[in-house]
Amino acid sequence: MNAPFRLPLTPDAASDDVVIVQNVSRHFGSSRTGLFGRRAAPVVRAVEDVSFRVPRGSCFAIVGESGSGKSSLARLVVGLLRPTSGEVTIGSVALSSLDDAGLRGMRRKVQLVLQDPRASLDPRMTVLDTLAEALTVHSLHRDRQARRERIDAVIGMVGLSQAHLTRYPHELSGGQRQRVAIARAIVCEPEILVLDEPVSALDVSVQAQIINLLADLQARLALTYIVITHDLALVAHMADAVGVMYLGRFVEQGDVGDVCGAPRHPYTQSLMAIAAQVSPLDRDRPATVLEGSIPSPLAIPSGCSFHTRCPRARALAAAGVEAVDTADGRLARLCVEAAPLPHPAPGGRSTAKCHFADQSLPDQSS
Amino acid sequence: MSLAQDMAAVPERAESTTAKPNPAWTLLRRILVQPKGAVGLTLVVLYLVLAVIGPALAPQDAFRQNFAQTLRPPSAAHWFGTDQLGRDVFSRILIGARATLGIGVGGVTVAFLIGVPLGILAAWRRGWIEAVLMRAIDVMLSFPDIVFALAVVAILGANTQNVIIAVGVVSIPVFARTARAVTLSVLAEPYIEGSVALGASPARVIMRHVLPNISGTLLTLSTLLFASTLLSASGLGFLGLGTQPPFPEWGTMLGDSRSYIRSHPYLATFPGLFLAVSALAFNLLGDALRTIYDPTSRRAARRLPMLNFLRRRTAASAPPAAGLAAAPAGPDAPVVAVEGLHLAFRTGEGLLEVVRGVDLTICAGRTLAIVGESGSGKSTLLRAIGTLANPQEVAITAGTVAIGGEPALGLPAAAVRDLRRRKIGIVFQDAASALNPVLTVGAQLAEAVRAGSRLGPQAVRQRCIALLRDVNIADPERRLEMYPHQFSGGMKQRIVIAIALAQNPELLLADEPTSALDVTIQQQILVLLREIQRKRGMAILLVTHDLNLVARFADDVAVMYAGRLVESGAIATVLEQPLHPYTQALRASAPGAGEGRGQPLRSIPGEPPLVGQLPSGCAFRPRCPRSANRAECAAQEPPERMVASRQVACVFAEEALS
Amino acid sequence: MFVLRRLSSALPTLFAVSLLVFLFVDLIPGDPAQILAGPTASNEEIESIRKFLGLNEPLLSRYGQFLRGIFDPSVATSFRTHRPVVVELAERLPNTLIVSIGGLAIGVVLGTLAGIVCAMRPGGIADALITVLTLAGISMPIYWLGLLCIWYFAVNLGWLPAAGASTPMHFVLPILVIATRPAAMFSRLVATSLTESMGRDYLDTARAKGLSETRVVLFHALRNSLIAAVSVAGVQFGGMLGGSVVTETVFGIPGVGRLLVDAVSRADYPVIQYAILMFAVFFVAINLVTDLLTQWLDPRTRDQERLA
Repeated sequence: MNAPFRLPLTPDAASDDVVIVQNVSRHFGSSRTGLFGRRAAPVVRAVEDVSFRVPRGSCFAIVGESGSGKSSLARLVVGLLRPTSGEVTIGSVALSSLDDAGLRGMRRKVQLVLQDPRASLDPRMTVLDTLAEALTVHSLHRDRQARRERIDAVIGMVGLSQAHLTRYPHELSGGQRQRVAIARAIVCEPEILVLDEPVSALDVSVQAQIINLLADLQARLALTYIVITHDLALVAHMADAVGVMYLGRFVEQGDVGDVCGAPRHPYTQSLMAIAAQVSPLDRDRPATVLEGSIPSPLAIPSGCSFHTRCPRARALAAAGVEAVDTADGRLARLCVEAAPLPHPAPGGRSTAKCHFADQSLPDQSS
Repeated sequence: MSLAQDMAAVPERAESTTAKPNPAWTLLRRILVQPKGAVGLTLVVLYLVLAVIGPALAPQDAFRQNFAQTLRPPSAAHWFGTDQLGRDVFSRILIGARATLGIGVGGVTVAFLIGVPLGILAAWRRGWIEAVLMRAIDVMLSFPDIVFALAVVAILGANTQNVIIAVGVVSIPVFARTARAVTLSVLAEPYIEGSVALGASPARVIMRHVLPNISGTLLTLSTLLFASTLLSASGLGFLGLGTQPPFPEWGTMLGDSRSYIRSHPYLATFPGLFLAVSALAFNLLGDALRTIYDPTSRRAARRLPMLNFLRRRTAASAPPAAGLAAAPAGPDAPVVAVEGLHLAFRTGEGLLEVVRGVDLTICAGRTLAIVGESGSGKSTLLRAIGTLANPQEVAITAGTVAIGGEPALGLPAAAVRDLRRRKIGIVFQDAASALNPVLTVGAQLAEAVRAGSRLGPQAVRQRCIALLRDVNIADPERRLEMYPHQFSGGMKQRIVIAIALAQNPELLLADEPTSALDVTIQQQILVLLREIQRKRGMAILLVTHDLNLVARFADDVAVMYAGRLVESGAIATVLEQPLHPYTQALRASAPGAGEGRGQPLRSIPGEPPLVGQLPSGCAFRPRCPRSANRAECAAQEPPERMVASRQVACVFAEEALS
Repeated sequence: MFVLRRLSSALPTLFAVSLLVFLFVDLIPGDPAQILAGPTASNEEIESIRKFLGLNEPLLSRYGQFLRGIFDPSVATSFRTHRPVVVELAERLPNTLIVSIGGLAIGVVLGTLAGIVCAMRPGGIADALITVLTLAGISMPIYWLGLLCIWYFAVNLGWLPAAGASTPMHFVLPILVIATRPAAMFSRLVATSLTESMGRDYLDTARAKGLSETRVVLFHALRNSLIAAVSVAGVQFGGMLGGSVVTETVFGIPGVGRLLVDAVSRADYPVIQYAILMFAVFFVAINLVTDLLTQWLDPRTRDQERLA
């Protein structure tokens, strides 16, 4: 974990990586002082030593549960948060080299689409105002006529009509609102869209529409996507590469076919087992159920941070690997005491941070 | 609160008109439709007119003393009588309006112009600016307001201008504090982050997003503060420390009348009345504005209070005792039997039907899952079955519900309580809000255990501990003393389940029990519920939007669309070979349902209909790939019928079989 | 533990308050001695007043002197009566305490009851009546209400004495008049927050246990809504307390409020300073009690405190 590592995937395509995140960490609450004396505020390690690269035109997914730090990571990429250490490079510009005004200019290239369109649009602005604001902010299409043409074109692209332009957000349905949020993001012709749970606040029957729209736009506008989600099924559908996040770190990352098709980290395995479409006929087959809940990011467990819930560490201890007794039961010693390094998969297209990633076990479900 | 989700699909009335009126007119209209707003605004306008043209209206010289005519009662010559110096009180009141209201306007303006920018600055910059400002506000608020105003007057001297400064300074902390609070809450809104992510500069965010969104609250506050400023300023006048004689001001006039209260009470009547009514006018207007801008008070206003009394009676008496006709409870009798249930939301415009004729039964030991989107009416249905539908919001317009063979609707309060106690347990989506934050877990569990039983304290405690063990909570003795916020989300949901199980219910109702939880925790809760069901053999009614969850967990499934069950039957039957086009689409549109990677998903066009705005015939018709404008679909609501061993409400259900 | 922490956080506020009150004399535009002495005074007279006020001494020692005056009767004397300010205040304090605390307590109790009635039977006759009374209560200038009460109960009916503080009966009217504002404010706060908590899921959880509606409201909803009401009311007690200043004047009660008003109109600066300081300390104390009460009612704040 300490040695900065480079993803083994596509080492030759480095020149076309449009987003490069290198060993980025973000800690909260480290230097908080009150007016009357210093309060020893505990440090939240929201993001810890995360690295990945996104080639132009591809889709990278960040998967995790609440508290995993995936939203902080999204905001680090957009530049809404500045990293405690590490570097984010967009295009060929390092974000740390930019001041606040420079970052604002950079956002023309990198746009963020938020989860809940009901809350992410200003209730007092019409759709037209919302879209026009994006152009005003970046001084694009200053001519009135050109501006209107651009807005008309974009509103058509997201599947709405000009009649929607005069509406306020509360006069639109959930799906329409999310289309407006997407329109606002693409109106100033960005290269990269960061999508934070783009469909999870929508009705099931509308989700598919939005997912198709996003895929369509990506193809038409040659966009690069970074998708934040908790849904591995969505990842398997949309993404080219994925990073699975647990307590601020990537526990497994790489090509989506590898990670979703043949997960090697026990956490990814259990997420995948839940996400897989189930046929009611084989529902009595026991699924892997993780015990316990995510530990507080204030107190990240020693060694491998997943060891408190890891079925593999438990199974290995039972199978006779050198073990220690902990509050969470008898676990493999290595898992409790040493932080795992990334182990590349056989094909070299993904890595898993698990001491025993390459060890196949007979059955972990019991 | 998934009931809120159902309610969210209620169309927002009158505001979906396509014409866009001027916002000022919209605001005016929204004030005037409220009685208090109409009265308040009218009075405020009258007072302001009075302040402007009052001196011109005054019939007599308000300053001319006439010692032959002192302390006269009201008469034709002097409508409000004369004062101790023989001056016409009516004329003095008309002239005093300008000073009195002017002090109020001046004071609020001073406070607004200083307080609001300070508050916004503190919220935007945070850090030491905020700390210093909040400290300063604390200090200023340590003086009772009239005392602070007295101090200012003592420093500057008593005159009209200094009174304006005094009452203005007193209100600065109130404005600053409120402006900071509302700015903070607006800044926390995702649309602010959206705008920042767009690249908008701080100045732009403040001007275009923060200010418009806090203006309503500030307008409300200004109006309400105007009333209290008026009263404090006149209070200073009353004490002889405000506007100085001979110039008339209502508070000063009241102060002068004090010596004559025994002999000439009318002297105090008119200035007091004018003062009180002006404060009332601004308070009424402020209340009306608050109703418009404060969402929490709006919900209360939606209820049409005067009709509640009638409603309560109708709700209690609506379903005739038809439920009594239900079959007597035998060993195989269903735990829940719902027949022809219709439910409607009460809105300002009347009833909006949200559940439109639902029949269902659940037998002991079985789990029925109702799957639907927001607005389908699934949560409302669940609450009605659990006898928990709020009669002020939901009307039961037809149908029967029987639980354990006993009718569950239209019962007297005591019988409803008994039914809830013995037969029903309920689990909500948001465990955090389903537990009372100020009571220990032990107290809340004990209450459920004790209800209707005569257990001693020790037995109750033992039972609570056993219940926590049942839901796999370790170290139950210690947990009893803890408060809900000390548990994680999954643990809270376990506690809610333990409470629901306290009286060994025959029916467990679960409203999206896992949607608020992380995926790995969801699995734990579902496994727990299934385990408990196996041990106790109760019936479970589960409401969810997640078809995948259903496949894993339920025995039977009922798919709900626009208030009706469009397809229901055994889980394997329905999910393996769905016949209703909506069920088919739900099944096919989820990612991972067999489409190739990069292939588009099979999506359903359009969106779920709003409650009360359904198309004629089949409600799914406009979105249905099978319908294709066939006349049969528009002709009538398709009846539920048995096709291939499940109930399905589609005229062309058989087409899916071939 | 929390009590100590809260007390220590009140200290800076008290310090700032005392400093502000102390600097009060320096804030007066022009030379206070000149103003006191009047336009016709000779330079010697002004100089002797300056000396008397201690205006020539350095600021810090004057502040020390000011603080000493809280305990030492010989330090500050009234310009008007030449009696020690502390003695003047101490004589009047009991009257003020009876009127303001009595009014506050009665108001809060009445207001809470009215709020519960409103929230439990929304739309009923009682709700409508209380809503009207509440609006009237916050709009009524209490000095006018006081005058009306004197006229009706004392002059017209002759039931109660009109002015003074010699018998317990003298306090009935002032306390009731002062109680109107806290009662009106509290009934709104309680009704609003109770109505808001009525929609919460935990009330449905309680109902599903088979509890009666009364128990659900009183045991589950009320405590939660009181937390909100008390914490909001803490900010507004100042407005409620202010009523006692005016009311004492209306009813001719020799209390600190009336002393303050008289002192302001006569520019009796030492009395003004110490009277204001007393009100501020009194008010900080009430805020302290409010905070402790919220703390006691709400286990969540207790834990936050422990964490910090």
